Amino acid sequence: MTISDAQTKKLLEYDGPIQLKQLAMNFALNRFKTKYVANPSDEVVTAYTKELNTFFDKYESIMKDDYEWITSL
Amino acid sequence: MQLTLEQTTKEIESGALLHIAGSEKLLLRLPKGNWIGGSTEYFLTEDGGAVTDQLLNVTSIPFDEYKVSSYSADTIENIAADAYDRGFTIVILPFNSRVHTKYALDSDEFEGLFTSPICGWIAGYNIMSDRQVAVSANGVEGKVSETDAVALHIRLPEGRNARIGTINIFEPDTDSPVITFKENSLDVDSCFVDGEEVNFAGYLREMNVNTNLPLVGDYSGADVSISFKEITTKTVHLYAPVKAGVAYRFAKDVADYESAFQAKLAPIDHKNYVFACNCILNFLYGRMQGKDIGGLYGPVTYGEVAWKVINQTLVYVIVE
Repeated sequence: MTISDAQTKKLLEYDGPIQLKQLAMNFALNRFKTKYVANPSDEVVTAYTKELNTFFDKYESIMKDDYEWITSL
Repeated sequence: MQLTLEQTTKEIESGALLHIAGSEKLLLRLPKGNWIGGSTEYFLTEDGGAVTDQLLNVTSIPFDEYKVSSYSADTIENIAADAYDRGFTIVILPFNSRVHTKYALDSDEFEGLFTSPICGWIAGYNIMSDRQVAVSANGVEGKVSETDAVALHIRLPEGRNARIGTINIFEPDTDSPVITFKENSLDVDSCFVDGEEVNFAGYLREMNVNTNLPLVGDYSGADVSISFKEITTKTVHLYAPVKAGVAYRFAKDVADYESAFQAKLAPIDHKNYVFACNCILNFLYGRMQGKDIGGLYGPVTYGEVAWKVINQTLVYVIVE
């Protein structure tokens, strides 16, 4: 399970209902959305991609639903 | 389980790894050992909600690899970096301490916070007492502290995962205006109500808002409760910080807290829960003394930690 910068950018710019299941994912998205609104740069996107991939790498078994939702955007 | 001082001492002397909640005076009398603790006199137990300074709430943590660390306001930012790659952390922060404020306001920026399962609670005291202080306890060092947080970092065996869950019985009232804030803060003077800047304390008084109910913020799809602590002439003091950029609404009223928790608990398979805590405002406003919410027991607290400091929420960790 790996997310690309392009998928991360879609997530940061997505304006519809959020369907994440893990609260930490909601908190992380909220943190990076705040950063991205203030500074819509590649650096913010890449930092969030790195964090998302850490989530999926460490907690593959409980992150499947969130991964599928993000990659469906 | 609720144990006497003597029973708890025996548990500690057995070498078991323990999480202990109880009054400051009892925590001070416990021997050194493999335990962390924090102060409270409020508990949710199998026999219902209880208030006591005579018993300790003792939870055995059934894992062998762990480390206990104390953190000041200057070092708490390292908490996630210190956590094991595969494991979880229980943190206890004394209410109104610098380390509590630092964690509440700045934890978003702690390295690796959201990729490490971190749960815990804010230690408090009996609200009827004007002499007690909130403390954390590092049993390994034999240190009880009003200023430092304590954390139990646990490493899990291969193939096992910790899942932190929350039960928030509050939902945003769709009739509520949208409240936003200029900056992250525990103490708020002005806010925006549907985009118009007002003094928040004055607005709450003018609209006769029921401040027993929390603000509910939309944190990118998650409803997070932030509770009112005190409203002075011009300032609203909160138990957890509001965040700039988050849209908050006042919460819908909950008629029966006990039933609301039971309904949300029913579908959760919580037989393997390792730790749980619930908010003192739920205990008090929900009149939960003597009531059994059905399955997740532990200390009643001055704030809960599920990565961030949140309020009026039951937090638990299950190891799968």
